[in-house]
Amino acid sequence: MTALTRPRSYGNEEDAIAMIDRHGKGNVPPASPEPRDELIAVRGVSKSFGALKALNDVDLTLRAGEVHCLLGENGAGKSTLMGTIFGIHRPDAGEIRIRGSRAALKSPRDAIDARIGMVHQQFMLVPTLSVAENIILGEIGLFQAARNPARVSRLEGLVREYGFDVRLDTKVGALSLGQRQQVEILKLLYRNSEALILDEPTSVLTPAEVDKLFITLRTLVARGMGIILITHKLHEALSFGDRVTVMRAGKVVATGVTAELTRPQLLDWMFGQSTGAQSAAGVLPTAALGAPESGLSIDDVSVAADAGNTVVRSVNLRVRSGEIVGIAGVSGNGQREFAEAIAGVRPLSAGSIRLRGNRVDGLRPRALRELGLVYVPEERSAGLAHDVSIGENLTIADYHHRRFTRLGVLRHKVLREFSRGLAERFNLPIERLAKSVRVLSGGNQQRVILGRALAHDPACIIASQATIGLDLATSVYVHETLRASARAGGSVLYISTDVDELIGLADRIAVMFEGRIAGVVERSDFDKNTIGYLMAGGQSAT
Amino acid sequence: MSESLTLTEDSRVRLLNAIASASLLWAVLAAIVLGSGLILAAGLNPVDAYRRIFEGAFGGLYQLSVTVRFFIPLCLAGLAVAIPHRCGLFNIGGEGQLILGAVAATYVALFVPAPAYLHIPLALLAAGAAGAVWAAIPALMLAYRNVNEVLSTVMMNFVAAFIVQYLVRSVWRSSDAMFPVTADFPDTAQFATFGATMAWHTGLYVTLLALVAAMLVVSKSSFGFSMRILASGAQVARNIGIPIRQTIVIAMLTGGVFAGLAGATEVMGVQHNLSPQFSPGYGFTAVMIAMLSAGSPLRVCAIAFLFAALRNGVSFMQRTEGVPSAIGQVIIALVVIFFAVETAHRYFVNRVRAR
Repeated sequence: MTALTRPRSYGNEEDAIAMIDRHGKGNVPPASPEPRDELIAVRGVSKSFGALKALNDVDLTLRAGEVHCLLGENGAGKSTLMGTIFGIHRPDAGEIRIRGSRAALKSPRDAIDARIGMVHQQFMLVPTLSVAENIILGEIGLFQAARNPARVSRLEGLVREYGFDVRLDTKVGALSLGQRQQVEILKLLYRNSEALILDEPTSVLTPAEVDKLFITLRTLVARGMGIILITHKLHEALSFGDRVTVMRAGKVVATGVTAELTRPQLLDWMFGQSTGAQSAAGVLPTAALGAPESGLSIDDVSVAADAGNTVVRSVNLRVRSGEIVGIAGVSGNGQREFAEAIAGVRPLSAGSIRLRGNRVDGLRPRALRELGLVYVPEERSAGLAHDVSIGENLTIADYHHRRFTRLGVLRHKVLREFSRGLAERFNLPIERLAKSVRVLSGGNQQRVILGRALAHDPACIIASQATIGLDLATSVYVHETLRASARAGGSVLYISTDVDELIGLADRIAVMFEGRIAGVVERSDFDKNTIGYLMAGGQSAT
Repeated sequence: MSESLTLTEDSRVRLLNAIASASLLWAVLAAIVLGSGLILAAGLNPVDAYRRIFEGAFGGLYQLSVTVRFFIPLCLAGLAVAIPHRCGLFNIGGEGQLILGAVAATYVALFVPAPAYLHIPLALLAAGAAGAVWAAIPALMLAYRNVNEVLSTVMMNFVAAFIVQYLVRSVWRSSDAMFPVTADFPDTAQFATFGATMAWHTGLYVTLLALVAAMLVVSKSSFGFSMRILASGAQVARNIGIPIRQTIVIAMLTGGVFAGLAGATEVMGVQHNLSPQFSPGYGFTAVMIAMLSAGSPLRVCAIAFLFAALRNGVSFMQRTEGVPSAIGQVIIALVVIFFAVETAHRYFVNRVRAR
């Protein structure tokens, strides 16, 4: 990580903007001086999925000889844009030009023929075949021998030329994830790809492998290839890229030359004027806080991800009764696993959690709910059972309870009354409770999830990104609901990547970086620069 | 995608459901039309052939009783697949569980002396337990070791088939039979037929009881609700704390019990002994029945009846018109294929629209 002196004020921003082609400010996308340099030019591309506008009038240029980082939060539209370039999605409007001529990509096959290659996050390799077989898999006929000497010697040449450390006859299943990634890149080189798209390539790599990837990419662009690297990590964009394009909510915010960019600027572009968080910042006289041990106490908690690697490291945190504590951080820094661990969905690998003085780590979600700890997960789809009705969804966390089940038999009438009561309390359409939950808008789906979570006035709420994709009114409603719960003596832990939202909602903000709490900022010291600095891996002053 | 849906699309959802329910009818019609071509190609009159199928299945009390005789194990075996499918599991091992059920029933029938009023219940109990044990092995492997249940249940079928071969060919073989078969069951362990010359038997009560039980589990029990939530997605089930392993194991065990009972009704109601090939693949037909019925026990009942009628009618057609029964089997298969194509088509169209 390169040293960053101090979070700077935004005084230099204007200069920086002058140096970059900021989109949508009357600045015409520059007619490239040497159009033959343009490997890929995306012009005015829009793409909608139903009512969701995934891409909105997007421009992007990939030049030969550059690593172009595409930076943005999850859901910003990065993957959709790459899918469009790679022929997976067809744009609703706009055009894609490849080496100056307009291309109609109908499938990934067309993109490959146009010498565009993509390394997906999930590798597309057959573990039981050798490296060489995997690479030539697409081009050999049914009865041709895989070990064609000409092909193999060409592959060996490529391996030597670029310094890959894989043997061609090893089975892919025996390779590390970093080596598999090399095989994917080798495959693209073998197909003479000139433009490479790498989707979050470092997410599976160890630090040493990241360094190696960096060297490989530099070698490739030195030979005139162009690389688009998708990432949501700031420091990667700054260290890997020649240029950076930032996307947010389906739009390109800006493109800049890496050498002229700073972290605060990128943060501002990524999280800028965010939606849904303009609600009543600072107006709340917060409820009287309880004693430090009155709410949720998290001590030395470490958590492993699904792959077994530790992603939350010795976190200590108190959420007192009556308090809303925000967790800020660029996504993928362990927040999700942290939330799941507290919610009893994921085991702790170390540490302890207490709620109002009682140990609750190791308890399952049903037992935690009984004790008053509830969880609102990051994705709404993970909080709703899509095959059951709206009314039933309000009961799925409680139906097993003695009040609703006698001798294994559901008491439908009691359940219906219960869900009607909740629907009334949380403004859900009562006459539609028997309908499928699929017909609800995102806002109403979130009301179902919140209503279920708050049904028994919990002592502690763990909520993650609960306003993502919601309109302002519903976002405000969600915030108000959480505040009301805190005022009534609850503890709220709210995880978000949106700093503005947290500043508007939380009493304190803890910033997570690489699985640790990089710093805790009190409401009186709330400042986007400070928080952004911590989010980017800066050290807390204290 | 769910976020983009609004309440106005509710009617569209209902329309799609209506089409889905009707598509089985279309599949049957399409199979009849294409089957006509085959029958014509065999040099026969399709109208006559189809009339014979209908007569064979429903043309008289005896014919109806034979249809019901096939319905008894088919419905039970269909439930054995449909119940686990309620929580998203594919129990392809119905055949193996059915065989083990028949083996257990045979053991009780032949070697456990019991008074008349206890013999049948004991045999059924043993059969249900044996089916459950056979289902428990893949269920536990799935719940605790994440072994794909499709593969493990298929494999268990082979093991079961060879167990019955071994038993009937060696230890249980009746000495006075030319073929490998056990001795006949005592009367106390046989389901009586309704009417001396009829094929239907009191095993029908077992099927009907199982059907009612399955309907209650699905619609009234908290366990049935857990299964539906789990079918909606493991993620939500995990987040709200549904006991996932427990639900998987119980669902599979319930399926195993139904399959075991199916085996028992066949040997105690129809064969009255155990031979290696006593089941003409009821457990496999059951997979088709369950898939066509989308997990609803009542639809399992209806579709199992349709399959029983087709099977009976087709063999009648073969005997009276000389239409090879292979053609009849092809017609049954066509129904399934057309239905599957229709379902897949709708799925595909939806995906393309989403692009």
